[in-house]
Amino acid sequence: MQKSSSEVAQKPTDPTNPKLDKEQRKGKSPFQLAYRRFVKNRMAVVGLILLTIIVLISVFAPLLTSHDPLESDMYNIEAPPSDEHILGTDDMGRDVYARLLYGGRISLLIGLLTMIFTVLIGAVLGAIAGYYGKWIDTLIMRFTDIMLTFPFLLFVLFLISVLEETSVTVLIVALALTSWPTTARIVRGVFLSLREQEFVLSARAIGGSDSRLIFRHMIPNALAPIIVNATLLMAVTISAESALSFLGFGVPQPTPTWGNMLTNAMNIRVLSDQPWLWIPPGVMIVLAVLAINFIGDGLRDAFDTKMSDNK
Amino acid sequence: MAAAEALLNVRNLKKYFPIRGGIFQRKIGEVRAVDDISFSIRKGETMGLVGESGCGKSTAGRTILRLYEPTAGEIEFDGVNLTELSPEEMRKKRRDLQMVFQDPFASLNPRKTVGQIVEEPLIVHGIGTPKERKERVRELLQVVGLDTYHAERYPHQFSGGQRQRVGIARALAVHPRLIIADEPVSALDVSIQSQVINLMEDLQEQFGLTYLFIAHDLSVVRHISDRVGVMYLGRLVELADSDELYDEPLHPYTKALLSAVPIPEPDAKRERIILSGDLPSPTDPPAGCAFHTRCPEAMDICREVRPSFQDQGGGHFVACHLMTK
Repeated sequence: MQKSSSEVAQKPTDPTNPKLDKEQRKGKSPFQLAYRRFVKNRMAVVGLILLTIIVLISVFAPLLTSHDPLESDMYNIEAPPSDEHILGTDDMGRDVYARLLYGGRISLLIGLLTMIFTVLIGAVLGAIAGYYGKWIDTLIMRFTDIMLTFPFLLFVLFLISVLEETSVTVLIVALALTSWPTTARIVRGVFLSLREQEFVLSARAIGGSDSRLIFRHMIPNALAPIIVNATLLMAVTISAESALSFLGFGVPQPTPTWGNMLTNAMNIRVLSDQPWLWIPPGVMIVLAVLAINFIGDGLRDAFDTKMSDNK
Repeated sequence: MAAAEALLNVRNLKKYFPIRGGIFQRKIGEVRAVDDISFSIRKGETMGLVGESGCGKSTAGRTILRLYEPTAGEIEFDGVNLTELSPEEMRKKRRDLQMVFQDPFASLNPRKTVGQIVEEPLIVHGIGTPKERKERVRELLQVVGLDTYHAERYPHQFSGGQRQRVGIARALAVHPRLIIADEPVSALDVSIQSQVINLMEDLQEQFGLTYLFIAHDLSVVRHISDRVGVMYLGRLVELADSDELYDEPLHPYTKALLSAVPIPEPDAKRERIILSGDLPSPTDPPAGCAFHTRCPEAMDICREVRPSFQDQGGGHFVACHLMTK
């Protein structure tokens, strides 16, 4: 059986060749290659380290401060930074440092959950529209277009005023409902081009079912743009949460978030005389959003195979 | 060979692609990619299908496998009419009909290892245990002249010729009876082309395969095919045993096509037939014979009546009014 084909085969390399170690024989998957490119990107790595630190200090907040973020220290109201309160206290006598750490939990949680929901809704709708095409595509995409025309802030304000009370859940739902259309468009675009690729056609030719085509062949190849979009989306969501909380439509007091900590800065007296109340949360928002954006850019470059390896 | 029974019978196959436009995406026209073709392939033979770019030969191949739904016509494979099968029945039937694609760089999923790619048809059709499948993948890789350790690598680590071997291994995995090869070598270097073609010939002998070999390279097709069909603008214009077609072409288009094949002899004298005009658009094919706009021997009847595809004796089919004068 081997005889006839070995004549036409290119001279096979000896599998027992000692020079050919396991590392060389085993291929590098596109994700492994992307990881290598990502690690070489300095800004992205800085962003990743920064974000890791922010996440860690939020998660391990109880270990880093002995103060309760909700507890008032009536003897120290609006106190400037001191040994007892590293970043001072606010107008209710609550420790700003503690609120900053615990606030990170809520802000990051909102960013993360909104991102997950947005990607789920957007990816599923986009994939269905792009894969099946025709009237299904028209239906979903026209709906998406309508959603896109709503001004985001107005829609959220409307939703929250209808529901009368806000909570973390309401905020996540509101943000996810307004941000999925962009993701849906991206995924649909990727699916439209993937659908015509020969490897998808070949998967159908060997007898693969629709779900096999979508989940085993198309989604893995659409993952790169989805991940990049999701990362950048998280940065947008964190700043959106801050903006809404600042306006008083976000997470209600006394739960700390970076956004509603900034609310204090609306008062001109606080703005000019008590910078410890608004500079720390402001800095945290900027750092988190910046870090995530760097990671997103890094991922985009890492997944873009057209970029040369040695860049 | 003539006595062998037909494995594939294609009757009056048509594939029109709608052109949509306007606000409501109404159908405003159609591309007649495959316009009423009929032929049959016998068990164990190789039928070549040639024609210019855009003549519909790839579409014909894909429509036979129902990767595109045929607009009309019958595809009878081993007594079963494929056009009547439900999607699920067709999916199962694909075990017998496999395809090798043109572009070895696009037809392999970049995120899967070669082992996973070759194994997939076996998984899809529920063949063997994981261990048996691994063993079969190793066997297949050896059959197509790759090394077993290549199974752990990704497509981007291979050359075009090697990838095409992977594509062939994948097609062979489920012991198909018919393989449609859609320009399997046109993306490869000439030196690699012959290797892949020889491999395909060896495999045919080994496994008793039947091929529909689509190509635009006439010398490649002559080498591998028992019979050759010539397509022009979605229609079959001539079909004959390959030696007969090359030695005694009857249709003016086939003559022109063959006269363009370079002869590796500098002193050889021959008549080069140069066609004037452009290929007409398949959205609006000429009335009558599709070739009459460029045919050096066109007559009045050619502009009005579409010539029928008739046997001129010995299985030499031609669609031309010159034959029925």
